[in-house]
Amino acid sequence: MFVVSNSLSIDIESLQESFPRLLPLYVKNTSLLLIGVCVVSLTIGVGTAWLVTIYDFPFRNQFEWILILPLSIPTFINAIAYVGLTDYAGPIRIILRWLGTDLYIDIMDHSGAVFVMALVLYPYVYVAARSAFILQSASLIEVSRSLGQSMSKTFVRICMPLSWPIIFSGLILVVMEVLNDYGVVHYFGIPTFTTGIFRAWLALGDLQTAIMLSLVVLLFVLFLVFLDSIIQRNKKISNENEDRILSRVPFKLKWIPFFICLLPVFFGFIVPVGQMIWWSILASTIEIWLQSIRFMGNTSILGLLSGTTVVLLAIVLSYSNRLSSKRWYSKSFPKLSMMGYAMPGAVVGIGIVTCIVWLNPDWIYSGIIALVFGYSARFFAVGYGQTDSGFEKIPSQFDDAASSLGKNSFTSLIKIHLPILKPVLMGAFILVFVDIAKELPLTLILRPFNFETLATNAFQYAKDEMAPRAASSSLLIIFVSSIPVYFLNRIIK
Amino acid sequence: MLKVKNVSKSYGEVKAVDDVSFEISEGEILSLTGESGCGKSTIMRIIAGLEKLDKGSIFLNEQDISSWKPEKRKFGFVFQNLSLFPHLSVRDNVFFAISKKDRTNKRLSELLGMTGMQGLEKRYPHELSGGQQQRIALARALAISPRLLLLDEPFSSLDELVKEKIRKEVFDLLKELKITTIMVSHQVYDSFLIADKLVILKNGSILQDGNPIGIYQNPTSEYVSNFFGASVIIKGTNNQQVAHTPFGDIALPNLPDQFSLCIRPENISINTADDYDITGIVKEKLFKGPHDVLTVRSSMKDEEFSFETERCSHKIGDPIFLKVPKDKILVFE
Repeated sequence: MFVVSNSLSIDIESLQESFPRLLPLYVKNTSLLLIGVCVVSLTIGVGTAWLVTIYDFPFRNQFEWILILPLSIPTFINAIAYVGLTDYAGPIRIILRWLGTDLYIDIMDHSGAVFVMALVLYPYVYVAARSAFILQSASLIEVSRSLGQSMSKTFVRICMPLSWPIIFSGLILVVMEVLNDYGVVHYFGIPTFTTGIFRAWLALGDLQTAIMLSLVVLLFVLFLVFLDSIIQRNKKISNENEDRILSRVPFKLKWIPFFICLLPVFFGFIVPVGQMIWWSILASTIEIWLQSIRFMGNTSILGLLSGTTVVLLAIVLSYSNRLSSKRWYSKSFPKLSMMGYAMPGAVVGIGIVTCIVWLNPDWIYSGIIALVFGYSARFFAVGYGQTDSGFEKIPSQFDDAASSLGKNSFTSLIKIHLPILKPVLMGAFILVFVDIAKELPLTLILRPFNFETLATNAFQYAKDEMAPRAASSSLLIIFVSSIPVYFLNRIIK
Repeated sequence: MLKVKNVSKSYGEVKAVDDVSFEISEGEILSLTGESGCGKSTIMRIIAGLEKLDKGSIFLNEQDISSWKPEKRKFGFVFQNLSLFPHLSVRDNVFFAISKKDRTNKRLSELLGMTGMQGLEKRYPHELSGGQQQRIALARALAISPRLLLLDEPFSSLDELVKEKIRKEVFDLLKELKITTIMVSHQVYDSFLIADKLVILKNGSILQDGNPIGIYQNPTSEYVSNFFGASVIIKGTNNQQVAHTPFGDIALPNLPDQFSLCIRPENISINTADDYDITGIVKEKLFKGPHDVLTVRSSMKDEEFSFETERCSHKIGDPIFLKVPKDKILVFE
């Protein structure tokens, strides 16, 4: 809101110099990245989801969750790993030299950025596609086959049209992540909207340009949310209360789907983690580990404070939602809170900065309250979504029973709802915590001076061409982020 | 035409289908029946190629098709939940598997005419009633001119009132078109209406197969006899070829040591005190529309049995005299 209201009062004259020159460049680069990452993520995500859901092959069960693992690697850490792998001292060049050739490999361009981002963002599409394929009535696929349609024709004519709305929701998350990305594009030197916002605000102190750029991104995000709501309206998934699941089709050459599913996991998880472990063996000293553990402490404080804030707010809102009979309120609030999640970190950051500047400019960078506020605003939807669906699963008869036994709403919340929701609330907290551990742009904008988190530390080392030193922090982030893979897999099952 | 030979299928430890064999000739209608979990749907799915068999073979016109993919078999399959494609209109559902050049208005009106669905081409499945969805699912399966039509509990999703009407229409159409059909139904009376052959399954094996009326008249086991419902089953003991029963002693040839006797309700008639086989006291009388269900306590032994009869004037506590022709009593080991 601050971004929008401030954009109205901006002096257009002062913008004219840089804005028209930069805008086409940002639009071009951001679009190229968006299209590239979406195409690659869709191909990998939908392809692997289809194989894992429909076919039977070795380790299929394990692949169900292994395929989500790359999500635990922040995009910029994947970028650091791949740059390290392909640079002069990296293992690929070493092997090539050993073989008698020295091929110069440069991945620090658009295609490289698409590659490193898609490899860790495809799980959003995979998770969505898999749940869509599972939701689909098995007999729709079987009836199509019995009518003479091959598996591939059934996929194109039945499964994709029916699953598209759900897959699109997953794809929107990929788009949001690409818009949110600062680490990769800054590291690779690709000017996009996010780097533009950073350059304007942090390097040039030009809040007006930063606000205008944020406004463009904001409008695009609004357009996406609007598009999604239209697509969701036409959702035609029908499960028809069928409890039978599809009997999986055996694949003739059963190792082919195995290797297809292994590829994204290999390049999206094993390779970057391997590189980080290798670096940590090479370069990490006890001091670096101690430093990383200190930053882990900072990250944990932020995660604890923001996670708790989000969960508490989510409980209050979900419960008052449950008690409230006003329908408009319960319907519009989740959509509003989704906007925070949809907005790139840089935009949220600029919004909060404008807000602080408006309140009292001296408060900027004075403490972590701005960060906690920023995280809570940006990741509220994650905690709220979990909590609210948890509340929905508790039958309303529990409330009626409690009130008939003379308990007021507050007592039933404490004695009935919260104990039942304990695992859900834990899950919500962990998801928010992990998102915070991975967050970069918002942290870079709002952190106090000399305040480092694991993410900013890893990024700083990489920026200063000391990538191996980023390994310990990166590994800690990856370790923490792997936890929700378990929750995610359970949710879609 | 289609031969199912020694087919077996297990899921882990559970044997879903155990050494099942039967065949169906061109133009015949075969009904697979049994309690839920007896393996009838699994057999259908094996025939359609949707489930892989562990042992045995499926022959179509003497050709082994066991390894054929479902899409190659071209058997029209109407599923229990009908499974109309929700994103396609009636027209597109019916034309789903037909090549573009064959998608003519003439063919569409022919298929919709057959199933009485003209004028609904542009509707979507959710805009149709249960009965209409049923007809479209059938039209879609017939559109590919299937070698064999498979109907899996095709009427179970319909409510009682619509069910009777649709059932008759579908059966009339199948008879008229002379389509070879295998139907799974847990309602055994469907088989009397339409089937040329009936296969009764229990725990994955065939208990009895053959002509439906023949099976009704000569069931080979108590289970099969009971499957047609409402039979009176009584246990007895063998005393030198005389069965001791609550009805009294009945002399029957070839009595095994352990046996049960089965009497169809239509073979029990209420008679007068001067001509009866069994007598007793009416203990309970239940009103069941056109019928009454009487529970009678035998006067010979302190045991009870129930049977369905036409409406009668007996009240609880009245004496009752029943006539049961001995040649209508079925004996099972």
